[in-house]
Amino acid sequence: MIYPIFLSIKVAIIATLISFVVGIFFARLFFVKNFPGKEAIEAIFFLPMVLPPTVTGFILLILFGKHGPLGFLIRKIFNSQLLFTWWAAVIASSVVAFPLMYQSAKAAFESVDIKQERAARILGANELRVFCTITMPLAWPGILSGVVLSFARAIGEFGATLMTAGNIPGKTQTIPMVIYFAVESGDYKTAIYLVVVIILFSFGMIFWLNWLSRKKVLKYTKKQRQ
Amino acid sequence: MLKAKFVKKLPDFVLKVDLFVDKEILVLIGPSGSGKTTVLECISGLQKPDSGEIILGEKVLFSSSRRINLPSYKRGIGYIFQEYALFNHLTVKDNILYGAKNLLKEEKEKQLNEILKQFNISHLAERYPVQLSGGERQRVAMARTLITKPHLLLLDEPLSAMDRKLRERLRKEIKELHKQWNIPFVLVTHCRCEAELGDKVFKAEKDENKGETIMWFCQSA
Repeated sequence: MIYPIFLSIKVAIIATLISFVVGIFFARLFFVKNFPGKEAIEAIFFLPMVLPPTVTGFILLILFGKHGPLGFLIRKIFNSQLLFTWWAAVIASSVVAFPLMYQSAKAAFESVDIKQERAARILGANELRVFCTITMPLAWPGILSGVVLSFARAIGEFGATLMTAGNIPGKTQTIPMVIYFAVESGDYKTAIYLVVVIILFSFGMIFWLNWLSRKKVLKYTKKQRQ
Repeated sequence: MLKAKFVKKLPDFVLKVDLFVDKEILVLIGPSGSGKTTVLECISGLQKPDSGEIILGEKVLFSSSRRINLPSYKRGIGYIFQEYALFNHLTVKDNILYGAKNLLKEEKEKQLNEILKQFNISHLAERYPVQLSGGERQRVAMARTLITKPHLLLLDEPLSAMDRKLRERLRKEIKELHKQWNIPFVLVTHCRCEAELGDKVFKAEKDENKGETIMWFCQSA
């Protein structure tokens, strides 16, 4: 019973980290640069959000399969395969969580006052310093809501994970898998126990992240004088 | 000394600039939409002119013929934005220290204290910009710029959001600062009443030439 809890948390945290890094990178790139075909690529980014998870899972199965381009590459480099390992669950969760992170980060970058970034450049900051010290802190509340959404999506991921990682007890079995198969076999006790665990953990995580964000933002938005 | 001679095509007109400022205050007067801010942005490197040359002292900031376009952070220019653009998430102290990254810790503290005292804002050091009045914000913006020791100061409508009394006081402060800093100041405004601040005053003039609208700044008598 402990392993699925541990695995779900591990998969959700790693998937959130991956979608955070990739989402921020593409959101910034697509916010700053204009190029032909940008809208089409953005539409592809949003596909995992609108497609049924089984479709996303099927596509990943093809891409990472023995004869798929990414599966072939992984076999060549690492001499192993990704499908039906817990890494497949991480990839599936990252892919479905990515559009939420991308969308939130892009909206957050759009809301940053461009004049403050310009002022930083004039004060001698190069682009990297402007991004780290001005853009990211000012966009942080929006980015954090993207983190919360991505995490929620990743920890609850079921369809694509089942197709790519399967339901191997002690190896790839996450909480949603155990709940689904426990209910199917009539084991309500296990299902209820894990439902409570996943609700408490998700609530705690989201509550903490929101509190952290509010505390940080309130500091510089409160108007009253000290 | 600043020498700026450049052309910048804007959606509605072509902006032609030919300025020369020694260690004096140059005031650019023009209605809104006449390209005043664009002039400052081209000088500071936030926008790129289409052609021409911008030279500050011995340093070539921009030259279309020599393909030089120094990024803003290497130009050594101070810029006071219209609404000051203070960093909302940083305290007054951290706003001021932002441009002093390369100084040693002790030197930073020393300069910070001197500047806070000079602008009479020591009591505001731990506040955030949202907790400051308009006049206080302007002084913080000036202090933040001064610590970088700029070779030229650009001011975009610095007095526009002030009431009359405060405007009078800040006008005097700008004059005093100019005496202390002894560098060229370029100030843009839409208000003729600020012309008296300038040692030189340039006005925006519109010209039509072969169906093309040209905006240029010429020295007024």
